[in-house]
Amino acid sequence: MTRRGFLLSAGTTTGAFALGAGVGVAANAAVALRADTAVGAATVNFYGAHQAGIETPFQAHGVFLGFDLKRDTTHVMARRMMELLTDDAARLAQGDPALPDNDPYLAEKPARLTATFGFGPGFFTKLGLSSQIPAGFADLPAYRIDKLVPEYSGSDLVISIGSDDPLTLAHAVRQLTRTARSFSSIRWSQKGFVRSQGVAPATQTNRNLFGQVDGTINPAPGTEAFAGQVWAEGSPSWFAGGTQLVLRRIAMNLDTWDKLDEGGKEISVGRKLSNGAPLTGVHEFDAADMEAKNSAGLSVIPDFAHMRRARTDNPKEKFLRRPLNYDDGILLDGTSNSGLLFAAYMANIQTQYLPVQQRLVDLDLLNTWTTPIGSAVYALPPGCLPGGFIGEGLLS
Amino acid sequence: MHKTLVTLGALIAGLTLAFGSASAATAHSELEGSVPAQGSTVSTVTELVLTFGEAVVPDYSTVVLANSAGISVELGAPTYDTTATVMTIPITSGALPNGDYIAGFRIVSVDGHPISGEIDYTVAGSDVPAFVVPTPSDSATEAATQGPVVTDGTTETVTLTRANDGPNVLVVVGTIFAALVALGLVTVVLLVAIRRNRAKATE
Amino acid sequence: MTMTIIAKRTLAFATLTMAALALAGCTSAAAVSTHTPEADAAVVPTFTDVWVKAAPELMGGTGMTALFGVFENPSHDDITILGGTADAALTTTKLDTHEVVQNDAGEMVMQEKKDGIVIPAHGSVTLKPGSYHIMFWDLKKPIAVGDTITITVNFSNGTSATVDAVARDIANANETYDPKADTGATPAPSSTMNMG
Repeated sequence: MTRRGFLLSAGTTTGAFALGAGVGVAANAAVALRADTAVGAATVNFYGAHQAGIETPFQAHGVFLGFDLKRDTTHVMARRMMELLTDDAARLAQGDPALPDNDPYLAEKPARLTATFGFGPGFFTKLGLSSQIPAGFADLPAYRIDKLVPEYSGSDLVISIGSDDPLTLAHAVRQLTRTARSFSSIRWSQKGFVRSQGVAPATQTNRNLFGQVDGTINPAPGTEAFAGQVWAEGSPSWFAGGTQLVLRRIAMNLDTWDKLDEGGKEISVGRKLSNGAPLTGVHEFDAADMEAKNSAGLSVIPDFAHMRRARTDNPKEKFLRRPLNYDDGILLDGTSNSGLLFAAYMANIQTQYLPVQQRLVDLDLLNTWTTPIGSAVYALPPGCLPGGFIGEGLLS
Repeated sequence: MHKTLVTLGALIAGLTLAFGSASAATAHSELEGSVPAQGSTVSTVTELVLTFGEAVVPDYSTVVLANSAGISVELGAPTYDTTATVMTIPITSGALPNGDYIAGFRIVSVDGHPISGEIDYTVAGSDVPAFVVPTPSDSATEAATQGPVVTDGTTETVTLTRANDGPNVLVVVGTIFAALVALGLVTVVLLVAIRRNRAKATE
Repeated sequence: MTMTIIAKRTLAFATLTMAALALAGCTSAAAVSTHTPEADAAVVPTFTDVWVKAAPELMGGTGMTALFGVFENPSHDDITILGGTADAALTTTKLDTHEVVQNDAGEMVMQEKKDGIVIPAHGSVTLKPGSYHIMFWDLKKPIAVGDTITITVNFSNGTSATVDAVARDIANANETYDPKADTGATPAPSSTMNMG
């Protein structure tokens, strides 16, 4: 086939897909494919004081990629890697192809694409940067409820990528992986999702695969409460404006959960399934009455209820939850393979996260149906400005 | 502490194995009987005994007792029989005085199913002096002198004195299982339970 | 990724469908420059997004690679990229301008474009895999991903420019070099292929 012939046939084929009428002129096809919708064209600014993808309202789809630095990776190489990854991420967030990009069309519809970078404990130790580890940042202790597997645990580097479009996301994953693999090896990738754009109001709290309204107590983006919980202050100085991420892969046994009636499900959490209201309230955001008793003298929200164990009045133990659902299909025995990519962001893991996690380990009826099978922590540097790169304060 | 929890986890797993066939058949546990029984009138009550159709998970059990005036009665740590289906909860002060009582229970069966309910009964013919509600000033004083109160931190504590019994103070509280010290005792009981059960199985 | 040299100036692995890659020009064609034309003899083309294909391992002590990017010409007259020179520590061989064309057998092969690569007046040209590029021969040392390579590019109007190119990992750009390719074949000039 001549090259011209190829182009014509390709144009006709794409025209048929785009117009759905079996006829099409190459030029029209291209126009149709490139036309934007509000969802597809939407962008999130990559640059700023903080990295994108944290305060960003949920995108429908997300991937966490874990990489380990190659053994001989030096400080200079780590810097180059972050420079290149920053360049890729900034271009892709704009809807531009990476440099280079063999599939540039797949970058055309960013759909609020963000890529967020974080450094695991090994990043600091392998590069001789242990003195720069942020306050409170360390691997979580071993919990009795954990059944961790290496395929989902730990890594030197994480790239968290989100988009409202799974095709755009898949392309971004490939581009960023291509850059990262020159300096590191992939350890795992974990894919998750929430509802699609337009299905529910953007402000509506997500549901997890247990059907629970999940994330009611989150701080609102742009508020002082959000900044106080999430963004680190200046110790060490490179980390000011950064945050710490706890990523836990929590398997949820949908099949045993299914054996519960609605009342049992609600009492295990302490919230209503219908709208997420506390069992003592009517509306989702009603304050829970932890003292309320029923006629038998029992607490309406039981001692073992997840929300009683997780909640706190201590502002220093609050943090942002940004979990994604995962659903890896049905196993051959007909049971589910689903759960949560629990992603929590906070200024200091030790002071904000550990007390809450310990309470849930000690007593939480929800542990009956959930099993943490992956766990990792990352220090996410602050954002950067054009010309800079993510992690510059640490690696320059 | 941590070791105890791990041991308990193993025990629960063991119990699941031991009684799993029964639990698989029934989706959840139910209260099969109690002493005192629902609606009964009894003269002497020093403990509550609850019998469930399926093993329960001790971590999640809560039993409360109150009289008809809404006054909570302090209960001790529960113990379990070898099958973890029979739960015995002592009344800290000993025998109950006359009156109408409401016991509330919430347990979780080994399959994770929460069950709750209440048992109403009457004590009559007891020679134990009745509870009286002290004045607030008495209450504050007595509470301060009677040492620690077993509480989960969220339960309102009311301090009572017995009529004609001067300084003999009952500390009355709602939740019984918050005292983690009790876990050790439960562990021992359950360990014995499992061993006995295994011994039976091999006979 | 690794280039295997079968014979000098021959790249192995011409396996990808280059016709498909040629389509890539549709979106990456640079916008027409809005610069005010200067006295044309003095105009130096501008360049953006310049990169080289990394060559992390040398084979038999030598290697080859290519440089890509967008060159813009704000002047009234066409300007031709004639080639260039690299740091002597990297290679002392002149950097040629190349193109990828379809030969008689239907394969996409690369060949020297001896008359250079034209940047149209008030236009731009994109050098990219499967199309125009500036070719490096006889590499004396590897080029790792993230390395910055500095070359001097020479233009037909007598000007030259110092160009920094970052080394990037890419799986393609492995076309077989074919000096006998049909020079009458249509190259893949991205600047004229924008369907949209």
